[in-house]
Amino acid sequence: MNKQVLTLTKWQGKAIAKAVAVALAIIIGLDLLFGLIGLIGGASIGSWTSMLTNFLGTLSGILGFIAFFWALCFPYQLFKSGMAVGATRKGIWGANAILLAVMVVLIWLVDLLKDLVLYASKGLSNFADGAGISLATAFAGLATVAAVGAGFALLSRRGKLLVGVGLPTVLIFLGIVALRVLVAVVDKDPNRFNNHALLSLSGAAGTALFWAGLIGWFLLMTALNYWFFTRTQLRRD
Amino acid sequence: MDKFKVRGISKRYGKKRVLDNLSFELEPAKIYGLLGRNGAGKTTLLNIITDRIFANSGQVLLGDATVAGNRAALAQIYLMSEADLVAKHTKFSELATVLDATYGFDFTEARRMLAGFDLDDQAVLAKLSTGLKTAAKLVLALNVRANYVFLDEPTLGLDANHRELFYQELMKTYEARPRTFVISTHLINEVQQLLEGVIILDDSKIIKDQPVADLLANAYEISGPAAKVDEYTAGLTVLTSRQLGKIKTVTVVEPLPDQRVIPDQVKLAHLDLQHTFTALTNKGGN
Repeated sequence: MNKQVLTLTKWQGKAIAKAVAVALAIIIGLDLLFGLIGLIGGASIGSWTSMLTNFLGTLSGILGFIAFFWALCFPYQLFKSGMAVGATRKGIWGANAILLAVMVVLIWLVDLLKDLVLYASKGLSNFADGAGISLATAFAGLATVAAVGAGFALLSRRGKLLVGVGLPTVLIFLGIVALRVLVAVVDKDPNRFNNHALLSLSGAAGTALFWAGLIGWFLLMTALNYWFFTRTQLRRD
Repeated sequence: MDKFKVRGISKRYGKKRVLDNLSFELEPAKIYGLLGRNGAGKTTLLNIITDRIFANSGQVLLGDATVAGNRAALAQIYLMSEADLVAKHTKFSELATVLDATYGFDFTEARRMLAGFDLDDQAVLAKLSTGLKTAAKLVLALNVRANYVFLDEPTLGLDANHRELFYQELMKTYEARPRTFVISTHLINEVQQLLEGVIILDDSKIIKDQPVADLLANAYEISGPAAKVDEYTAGLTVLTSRQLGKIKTVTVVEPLPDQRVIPDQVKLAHLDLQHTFTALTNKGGN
C-alpha cells in the first residue's frame, strides 16, 4: 500500500471515528437518561451482561449505519478530498475500499463479541456458528451499497434526486409484488408461511453454491465500484 | 525537471464547446499567467490538467509520461482551486499532513507564512472568511513540493495588504526554489510584473501563448487625428477603436511596419498587459 493511500485512509478514517464517537456518546447518554428515569420509577438495574450486550449491540448498529451511510453517500466527497490532495482515482478507490473493509470487520468483531458475552453463561461451544457466513454476507452487502454509492457519485444533483427517489420507489413496489407472487405461488394460505421453499432457501447457506454465488456477487460489486470510481470527475453542480 | 505539455485538449459540456483543441507547453521554473474572460474555460483547463475532469480528446504530458492516472506525475502538479473540495471540518494542519504524503510539504515556511496572514495551523478552513480561506489555500500551494503549481483565482477575496503579501511570498519561495507557477487571475495589472509567459484563452481557443515581453513589445495604442490614424493603421488589425471629436484612438497587437513613417500628430504608446488583454478579448471592440 502506498503512502498516499494510507494517509488518505487515515485522514478519512479519523472523520468516521469522530462520527462513531459522537453517535455513541449521544445514544449512551440517552440510554443512561432513560435508565435513570426508569430507576426513579422503580425499575431494577439489569445485569452487567445485559448492559454489555446492549452496549455492543448499540455500537454494532451505529457502525453498521455509518458504514452504510458512508458507502452510499460519501464516495463523491471522498473523491473531491482525494483530488484536492493530488491522489489518483485508483488511490481514492483503494482508501475507500480499505475503510469499508475495516468497518465490516469491526462490525463483525463487535457482533462476535456480543455473542461471546451472550454465550458465556451457556457455554462457548456454538457461539461462533455462522460467523464466517455473516462476515462474507456483510462484505457482499456493503460492497453492493458501495457500488450503488459510487454510481451515485457519477450523477448530477438532479440525477441523484431522480434515481435516489425513483429507484427505491420502484424497488419497493417490485419487492412487494415479488413477495405477493412468492406467497401466492409457494403457499396459498398466508397463515401458513412455514413452507418448504423458504426452508430450502435458508438451508442453502453454507453450501458450495451459496459461497460461489456470494463471492461472485462480491467480486462483481467490487469491480463495479472500481469502474465507477475511475470514471468519477468533478461536477459543476 | 520535465516540460509540461498539453496536446490537443478539447472539452464539451453537452453541446457547448468549452475548450477547442488547445496545445501549449510550460517550461520548468517559470511563472505564467493564464488569462481569459469569465467563462473562457480557464478553470476547466486547470481541472483537466490536474486530472480532476476528463477531456473529450487530447492529452496532458509531463515529459513523456501521461499525467492522467499517473501517481508520480500527479505528485509534480498541484492545483489550488477556487472551489472548496475538502470536507467542512478540515483543519489546515490536517490538509498539510495529507499533502505532505503526496508532494512533501514545508511546514516551517508554512507556519511563517500563516503568521503573516494572521492565521494558525489549527484553523478550520470552512470557518474562515473568503479572503482568509484563500490565504490559507495559498500557504498550502506555496509550500507543497510540486514542480508545477497552478493557482486558480489566487487573490479571491484577499484585501490589498494580503495580496501584496502573497506576491512577496510567491517571489520569495520562487527564488528559494524555482518551479513553475501558473496564475489564473483577473487582476492582470497586479501580476504583470511577476509573469514571464502568458497564455490567453478566448472563445475556447488559445489566442496568445508567448513571453509577456514579446507580447507587449507589439502591443500599441495609436492615437491622433482620425484620418491620419486610419492612414497609418491601414492593413493592420485594429482590435479596438474609439473616437472623441476628431481624435481617434485604436489598439493594435502586432508588429508595426518598419517602413511606414509615423505621421505628425500621431502618437504611439505601448499597452500594458491588462489593456493588451482587453483589446484582444473585447468582443465588438469599441
